[in-house]
Amino acid sequence: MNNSLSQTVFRLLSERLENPPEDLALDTRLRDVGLDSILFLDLLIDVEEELGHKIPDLKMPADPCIRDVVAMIQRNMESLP
Amino acid sequence: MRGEHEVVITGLGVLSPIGLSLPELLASLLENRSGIAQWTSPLLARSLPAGLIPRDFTSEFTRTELPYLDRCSQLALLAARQAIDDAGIESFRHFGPRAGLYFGSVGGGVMTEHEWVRRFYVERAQTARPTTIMASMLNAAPAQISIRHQVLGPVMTHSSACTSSGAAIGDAMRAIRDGYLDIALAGGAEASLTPTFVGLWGGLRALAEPHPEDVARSCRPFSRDRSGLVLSEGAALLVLERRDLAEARGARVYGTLRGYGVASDGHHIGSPSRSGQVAALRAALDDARIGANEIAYVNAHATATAGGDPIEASALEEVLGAAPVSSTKAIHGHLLGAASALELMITTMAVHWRFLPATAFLEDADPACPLNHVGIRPRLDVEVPHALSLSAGFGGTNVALIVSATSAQLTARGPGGP
Repeated sequence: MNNSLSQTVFRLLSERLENPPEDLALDTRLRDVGLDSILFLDLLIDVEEELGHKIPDLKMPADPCIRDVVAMIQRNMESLP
Repeated sequence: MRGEHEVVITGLGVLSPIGLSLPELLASLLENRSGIAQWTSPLLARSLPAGLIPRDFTSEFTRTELPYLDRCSQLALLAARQAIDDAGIESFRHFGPRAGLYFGSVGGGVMTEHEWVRRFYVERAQTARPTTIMASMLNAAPAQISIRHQVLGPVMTHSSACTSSGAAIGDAMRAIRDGYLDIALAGGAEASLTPTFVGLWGGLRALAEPHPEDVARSCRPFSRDRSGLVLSEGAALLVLERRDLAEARGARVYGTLRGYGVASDGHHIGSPSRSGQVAALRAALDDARIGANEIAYVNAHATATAGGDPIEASALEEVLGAAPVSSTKAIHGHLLGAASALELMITTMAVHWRFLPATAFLEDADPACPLNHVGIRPRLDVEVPHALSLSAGFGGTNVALIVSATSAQLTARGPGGP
């Protein structure tokens, strides 16, 4: 798993959650930290701006954890032309 | 056919320019303390008086809540919490669909919406944040209240300009009286003091000039030298209940919501008509089944515009004769979608605490508004068996609501004022 990408996601997440970064782990489920589907879309705007890439493919497992988010972003980046 | 359940008021919650709680509101009314202050924006050349709440409430909410909460929703949620606590209700969940929420607002999430418009035109943003639509829609505030407090029946949003929250309260009352609901939260919120919204109103040339010596005196309803209305922000929510159910749970009762009259002018989009106001007043009296001479206090709409006040005075005089009248807008300004709810709340307080609120700064009443004015000081220790609040909105909707003291309130009264 891309460590730099993980750190970016942790940082952007902690900016919008009550939880400090140390409370967040790859196994943390989004629903457990109050990030609903709309706030998740809001997070992706910041991720796209930070990485300079669009993220069109949002497929993730049900009840995703942060690891699933990082994997989804990575998959999109790897599929870029 | 009118239902027969009596509807009582058991909870009051308020955030206003003259108080962020019921005790603060009461103290301001008794002391004539004005909440009108100078409002400026770097984007507007004109500085105006406004009824500001000089406090940021974002610390009351979590980071995951805030993207959904325009200031309008924040004020509404905090006022709703107060009202629910005041009524001694834990949650509405156990009422299921027999609990309702009737809400009024003119602009809803105006600040959020206008910020998006700025980003669109100035920053050339192509899409909004995904929460923007959820925060700006007119029913955002009542939806948030219903989710938080589990109001599972009708959650309705009224928008009829300055009568929005009055019509919301009236329709909530009818729903309980007709047997559809057992309990309801009703009221309104407005938080639209943005330069764009103020500039929008500026086009009408109806906004008051700052008083040259004391900006707090800028709103002067019924005064000969009134110069226009003063925009304000705030929220007022009331808990309404079926009387027998409220009594069964031992609830404290502020008064009975006894009459509701609504009528439209059918005249002009921006100019009021005497006939519509007269019709609303008569409808409220008929609904309450009381005579005009039984009304002991009237809280007038009286926005302090040159044209509006004399028309309303004429309607009040025709229907209610010499009933004592005041306009508390002199100290709290015009809360637009929350105006009618705040003024009904003040009317309820007059009944419960036995006083007549003043029209502050009415040293020189306009002869074109020949009413029995309460005057510039509140009158204390006055029995108020029945009181009426009148509101009139752009578009021509007029709402009159009547609050009455319960027989228990009248018999329990001892000496002394509020």
